[in-house]
Amino acid sequence: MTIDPDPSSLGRAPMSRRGLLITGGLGISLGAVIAACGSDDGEPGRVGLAPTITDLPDVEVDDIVLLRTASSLEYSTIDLYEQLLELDAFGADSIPLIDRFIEDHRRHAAGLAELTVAAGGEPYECPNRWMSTRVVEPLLLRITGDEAEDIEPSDDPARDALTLANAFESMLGATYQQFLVQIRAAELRQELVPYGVEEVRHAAAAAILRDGAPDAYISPAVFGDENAATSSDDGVLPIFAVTGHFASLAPIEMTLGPLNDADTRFSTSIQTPAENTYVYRDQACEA
Amino acid sequence: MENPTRRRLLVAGLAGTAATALVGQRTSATAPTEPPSTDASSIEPGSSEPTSAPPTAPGRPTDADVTLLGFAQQLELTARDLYQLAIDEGAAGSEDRVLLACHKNHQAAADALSAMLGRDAPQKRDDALFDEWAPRFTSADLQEVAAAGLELENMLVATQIEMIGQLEGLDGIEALGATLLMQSRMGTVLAHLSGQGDDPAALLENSARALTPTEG
Repeated sequence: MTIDPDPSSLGRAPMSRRGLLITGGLGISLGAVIAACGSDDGEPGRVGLAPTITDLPDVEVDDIVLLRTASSLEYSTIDLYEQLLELDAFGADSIPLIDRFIEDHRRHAAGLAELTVAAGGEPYECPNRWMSTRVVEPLLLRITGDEAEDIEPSDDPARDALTLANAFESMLGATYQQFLVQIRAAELRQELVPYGVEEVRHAAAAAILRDGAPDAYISPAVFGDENAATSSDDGVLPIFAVTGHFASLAPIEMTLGPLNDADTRFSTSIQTPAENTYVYRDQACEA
Repeated sequence: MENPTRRRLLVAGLAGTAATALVGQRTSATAPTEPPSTDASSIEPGSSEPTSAPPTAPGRPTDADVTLLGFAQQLELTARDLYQLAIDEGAAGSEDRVLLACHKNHQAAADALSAMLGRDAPQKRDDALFDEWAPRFTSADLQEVAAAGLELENMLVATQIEMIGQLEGLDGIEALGATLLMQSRMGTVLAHLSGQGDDPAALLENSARALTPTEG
């Protein structure tokens, strides 16, 4: 048996006069809109009251931008330490060393400001905005806890404060290492690298202070044992003074806060600045 | 008699390993995984896609660089042999890994420079410098050797900083930068190991004088 389908049941009714008028009207309207949107220069057309698109200014990553960025990171690190001290997060045995770190960073920041002026730029003498809002503030919540964000306070603030110290000092050292090949004025390289030397020595001292000697002296990675370098019984990522054969620009990994239900800790990493962290020439400190 | 082909193979292998290590660390630097380099939405207002000016410095070492980097390699091999001297004297004991790590890291730095310089690499230590420092490393006392190691590392770092100011090629600058920053970390460990852990100056400062090739 064959079934002859009824065309009307499939929605294919023959075009009525009303349907023809509606379809034709739509076609004409659409054509008018497309014609209005067209332009002679190949750009998309504009409809309504949308503001005219203006091109963003061209920005260049030059020596002044790099110097201002380094300054801002020095201030961000000082800011981190001052907030941790205010929270009373550091153990009493760490405070003299942290005070010394702050003193060194202030000296570095002053030196960088002088280099910025000498290079013809405006010094940037405040914390890096991107770093403050995206890195420092969220990381501090791992010490204090935040009920609204469901973040538990640290089970060992002194340990986590030194973890942050090690990470920020390592990041600063790596920043100067990275800038060695980005800086164009050759004479600036020799000015910047001693700051990097001091930062990594801070990082090494923080590692020894946190994990103790001789455990924190040398990473097993130096002897090819990568697993031992990244594992521990309590879920705390170990940190070391000597991390490998060569200084690396890789992100600096860390764990913070208490164990969670899965017996792991919050883990994150920080890394050297990129385009969205740079302090460009037109940026000013917030009032 | 040693088979020269086998020796050449070994040297090439070591150089290759060192080059791979440096390239690896450079790769990790240029392929970051965290938001700062990837989150374009967070570029500050007023900034568009930033442009970096092309580097004006050459990549490969220039002729002048080869002399400096050759001297740097000799320093690395001298330091390696000094730590070996102390290890042979029994200073490292059966537990301490610091001297072994110092030995390994100076060997790695020498290999990296060898890979960069090729046939221009001296591949030998500076004998005069070795003789000058050897008495301080001829000891089974770990604290004494660590104190000598601290001074040696500080001097090497100061010398490499000086060289960075003179080098023209970015490859050499990058290699010395990665090396001297790790040796600075070693300095802090050696300061602590030598019993100066409560002295911030020993842990954190470096006031050593740089060597020049003519002194070496």
